[in-house]
Amino acid sequence: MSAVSPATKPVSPPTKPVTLERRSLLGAIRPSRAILNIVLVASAVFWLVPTIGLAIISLRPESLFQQSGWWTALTAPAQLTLSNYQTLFSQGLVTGGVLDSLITSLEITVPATLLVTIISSLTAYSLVFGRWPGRSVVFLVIVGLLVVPIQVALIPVVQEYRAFGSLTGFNPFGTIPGVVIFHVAFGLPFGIFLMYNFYSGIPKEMLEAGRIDGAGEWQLFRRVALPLGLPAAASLMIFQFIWVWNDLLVALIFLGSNPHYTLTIFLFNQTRTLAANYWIISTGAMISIFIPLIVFFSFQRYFVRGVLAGAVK
Amino acid sequence: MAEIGTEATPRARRRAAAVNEGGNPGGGWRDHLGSLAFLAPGAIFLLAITVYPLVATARNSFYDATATNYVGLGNYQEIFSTSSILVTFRNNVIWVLVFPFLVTFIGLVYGVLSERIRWSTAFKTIIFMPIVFSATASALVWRTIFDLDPHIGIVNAAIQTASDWVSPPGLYPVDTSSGQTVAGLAATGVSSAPKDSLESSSTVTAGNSIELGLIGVSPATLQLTGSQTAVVPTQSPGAVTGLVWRDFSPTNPTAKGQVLPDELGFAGLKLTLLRSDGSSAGTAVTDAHGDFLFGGVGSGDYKVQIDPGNFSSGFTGVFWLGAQSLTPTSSLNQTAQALLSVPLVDISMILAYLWIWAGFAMVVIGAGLASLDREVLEAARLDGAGEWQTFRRMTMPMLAPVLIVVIVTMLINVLKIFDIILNMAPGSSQGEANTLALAMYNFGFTGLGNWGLASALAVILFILVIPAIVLNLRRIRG
Amino acid sequence: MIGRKASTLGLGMLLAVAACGGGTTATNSPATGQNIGGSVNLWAEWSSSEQQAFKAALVPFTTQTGVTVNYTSKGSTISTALGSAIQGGAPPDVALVPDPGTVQTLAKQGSIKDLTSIVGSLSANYGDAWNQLVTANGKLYGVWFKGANKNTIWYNPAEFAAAGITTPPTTWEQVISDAATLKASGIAPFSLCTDIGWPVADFWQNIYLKTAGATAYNSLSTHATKWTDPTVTAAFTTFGQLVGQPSNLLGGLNGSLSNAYPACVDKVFPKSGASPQAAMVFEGDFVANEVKANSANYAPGTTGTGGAACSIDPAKTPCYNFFDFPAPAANSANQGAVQGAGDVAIMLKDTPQSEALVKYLAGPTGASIWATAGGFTSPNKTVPSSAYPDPVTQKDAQALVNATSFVFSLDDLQGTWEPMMWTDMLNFLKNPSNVTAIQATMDAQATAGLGH
Repeated sequence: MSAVSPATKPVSPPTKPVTLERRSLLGAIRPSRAILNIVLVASAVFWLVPTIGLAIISLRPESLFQQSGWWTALTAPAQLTLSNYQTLFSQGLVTGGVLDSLITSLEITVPATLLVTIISSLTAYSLVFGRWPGRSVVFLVIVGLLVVPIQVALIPVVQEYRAFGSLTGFNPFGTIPGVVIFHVAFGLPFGIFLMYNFYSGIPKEMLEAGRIDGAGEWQLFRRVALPLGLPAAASLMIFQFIWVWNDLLVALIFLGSNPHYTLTIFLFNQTRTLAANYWIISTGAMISIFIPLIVFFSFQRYFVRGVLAGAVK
Repeated sequence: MAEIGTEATPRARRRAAAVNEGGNPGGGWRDHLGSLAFLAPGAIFLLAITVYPLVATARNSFYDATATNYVGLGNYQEIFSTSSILVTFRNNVIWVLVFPFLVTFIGLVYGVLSERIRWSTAFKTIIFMPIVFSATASALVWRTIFDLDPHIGIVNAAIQTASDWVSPPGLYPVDTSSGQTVAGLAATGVSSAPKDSLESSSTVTAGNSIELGLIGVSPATLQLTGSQTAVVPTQSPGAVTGLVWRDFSPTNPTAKGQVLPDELGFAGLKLTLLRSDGSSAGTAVTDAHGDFLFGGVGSGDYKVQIDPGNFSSGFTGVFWLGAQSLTPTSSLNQTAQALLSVPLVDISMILAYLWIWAGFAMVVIGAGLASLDREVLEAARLDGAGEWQTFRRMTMPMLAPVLIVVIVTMLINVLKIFDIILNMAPGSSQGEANTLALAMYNFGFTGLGNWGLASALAVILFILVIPAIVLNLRRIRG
Repeated sequence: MIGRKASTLGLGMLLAVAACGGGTTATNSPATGQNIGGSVNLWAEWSSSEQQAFKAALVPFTTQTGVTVNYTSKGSTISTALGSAIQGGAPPDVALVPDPGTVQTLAKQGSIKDLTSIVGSLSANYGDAWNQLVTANGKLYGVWFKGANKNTIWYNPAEFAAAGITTPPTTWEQVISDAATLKASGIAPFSLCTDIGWPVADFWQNIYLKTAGATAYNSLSTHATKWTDPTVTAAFTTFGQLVGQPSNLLGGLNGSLSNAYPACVDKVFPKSGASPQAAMVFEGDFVANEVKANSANYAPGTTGTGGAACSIDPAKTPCYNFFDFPAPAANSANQGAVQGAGDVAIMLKDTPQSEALVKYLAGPTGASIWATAGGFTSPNKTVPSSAYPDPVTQKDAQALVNATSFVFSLDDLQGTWEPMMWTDMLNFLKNPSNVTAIQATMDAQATAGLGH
């Protein structure tokens, strides 16, 4: 397994396999197993309460919301019903509804994720295996861009989109491509960083052999670097997917007056406009966390790896 | 492969050098073209959307709201002289001072503790999971948790349950926190008395009855306590009888003081008969019709007291998402208030944000813990170093890089905080909960849009982030 | 088919000839029957159900004139979108904008067309108060289509009856005394909407309008009157008579601060299963939509469905009604002044199709269709009262049409310092005794925000 966390100096690998018998960092401060478990169980319960609460609220009829707390459903499960979900889904694909917003979120997240992964791989490849001068400077610039807040780019990009529109007739502002472009650009520094670290671990000899055989850069990329880089690319995709899926600010600005919403905008509207009904909020929130949860549980390892790899977003 | 510099001819030397570098001998710009072509897409995106805008924003910050007229430092002056914008600085400071260290500490504790349990994977998954939710969804979840109404917000509900168990509320609670007063219930023949109780305005003697009229309680509440139509009390020798009733009739709103047929009595009221010196001569409880009877009453003048316990409302909820300041700044001028207040809503939001990000800290620190060299620690202990010493002088320094990564990452995260403020703080608290990133959005993209001011805020945000950039560059370089 | 088309065309031309004879002066009816075909690009802010109602309102227009209406919903950002489109050179033909300030600005820029030659002075269609708002340099630039009345205090008639209040208050003093009566009967008088402050601003603006009058109101809007003026102080004092007493507000101060719109409406007109917690709520006539959405049982007026008495229980026969925001007895001359909002049609490109559309919007047909569908009132005098589906909406429309003066929401005219104004209103709520400092702050913010 190659570089995981370049931000920390490499430490010598543990000589013993990691087992439970390993001496804990607490040393002789040995809380009894019971107390430890109690503390951690209490923490886990505390952590689960908000999510469970949200789920239960979405499963209760709205009229009960102001009368009694959701925790009463724990002792009276008969009140739970799927009616809220049925109502939202029965709206079908009406623009601005929850299903349409789900689709819009997908339309933004999937292209953004794919583009970031592909372009990051290409750029990282060029930085690691290219031989052109100035590579290290470019890489440093990208590292510098890692923590640049998107706020510094919002207004000029709006201006750029408008200028592009008057030049070519297509103004990306208020369109899905406009949102995707912005997400790709701000996902690139992290993506390139991740792939760079991974590619750095690939021995150069593997490509050398290919080059001597006369293979072109593109072939080398496709046949050597890309397959080897799949684990890192997977981590990047998962991380990017969840990041873009959960974004609110970029979508709010660049999707603007577009009648279609992302799921996050859909939820946000429920708190701001004249239609704040809690059954919509809770049900919509459950729907919005459903897909990231699936992605998370299916690809947990990759996601955690992505988080660990610098994770300076 | 021969050493560089030992070749016969300069050309061969160059070829060897190129090969050593991993290059193709005879390579030149043509090879670079392939690599550079790979660079192109990324470069276009980054230059267009990240690098150029940085410069453009800096330029825009010196221009006016439509980014067309030069205003010099005008935007910056406005930022530092408007108290509603200074509020954002104060809030960002609060977040930066509190959150990164708190979340790292929690992550460290969980990271260390969870090593020793069998179900550590499950535990870590549970703690880590909230990262996967959008900050928007999480904010809405926590907004419900902190809701003022104990029927909705679980925090207030929990406190209320505990408080009611310790001191149960009365049958007719008067919510003094919302401006209602017990004295406001007094209508006919009743006046307010010390300690939130009521007492009869006039005195009564044994063998007579007294009527006490109250208002301010709805028929719905009375029906819940089992109250029925008020019945005029009959007198009884040697006893003090009376009636406590709702002196309000919708059909006859001006008729006060009479017991009308459609008026209800107050059931279940706890009363005390007071002698003229204030001591108690007995207690009673009103029946379903509001009537009461104090038996075995001697001579003298008595007053009837309606005990304060009837009206205690117990805990009615704390406005956790409100903008009231934890620091006593209400008497200060506006700018001082803006800079020194600590609104309660900030604390609530920090708690919600901890719930989201503690898992991240725990996972990163956990990975760092896993790669620690236990042998070294073991050796130190064998050498006689104490537990705390080992932890302080060996473990922590080894963990330090990881901890710094987490702290810095969270610091940057918190500087840009936006979604959670926008969605969790209720409308009336938005002003006090405002942060730089949120203010930038509000000024730039809501209402008429003031691009100059928003750009200036973005520039300030960028300047605050520069130390992290420098830190990152240092780590990568060295 | 062809024969049919020809005969329609012929009939249309006949009617057109007949109608055209009326000349170009004030006309109540659109150029009916003139089948010109073509299309017109129309922008407005309405989406979802409002969009459907609007489209239904435009059907007779397309039928009569054969003009296809390409409607785009721009949501609440329509003013900024319009500005960008004009700058970019691609504006729609006709747009309905929600504030007259935009109309004035665009008129002065020369971006919209003078409508006087197309629809005349429209004095028969709208009151002076309305036409004045969209007139610049003596020329008429806008045609009002939809209006909103913000002069309404909504009350639960069942709660009023339970408190023995048989008629709603007609003066401000009666509001205060009715509040005391309601408290005595055991219900909170007001559910005060706060949110980020705009409902509080709306409330205060109504008070200012009713105490100081429309002329002073307009003068304050443009900051010709300073916020430190005694009339402003008087309005705050009057406002304080109600909100300075936390027992008048549901939940007191904290309860009010956590009371966002539309949750505040649900406290007076709850869904089935809950009971009302307050008797009155102030906001514009859009409250009616929220009430009806809570339960279909709500009957407009003071009588429940089927003539039954209004019940407090929303599962039975609840009612909803409003009374006009009352002026203090001493300022009864201002009783007819109305604060509100509306959507006005402006023309950006002069084509036969856009002219026909503007004329249609000035007439009764389109407005009547939407009126019948509900959720709509129009300041247009030619819209018959019978078009409105219930007595509450009729009363609402009458107030708009009969307004002796009409003023637009003051806060929406304050430009960049509008959000600060809202915060200041919340600050007043939190500390009513601090009024002098708040007034001074507001004046400084107005100067900075408006430039004078």
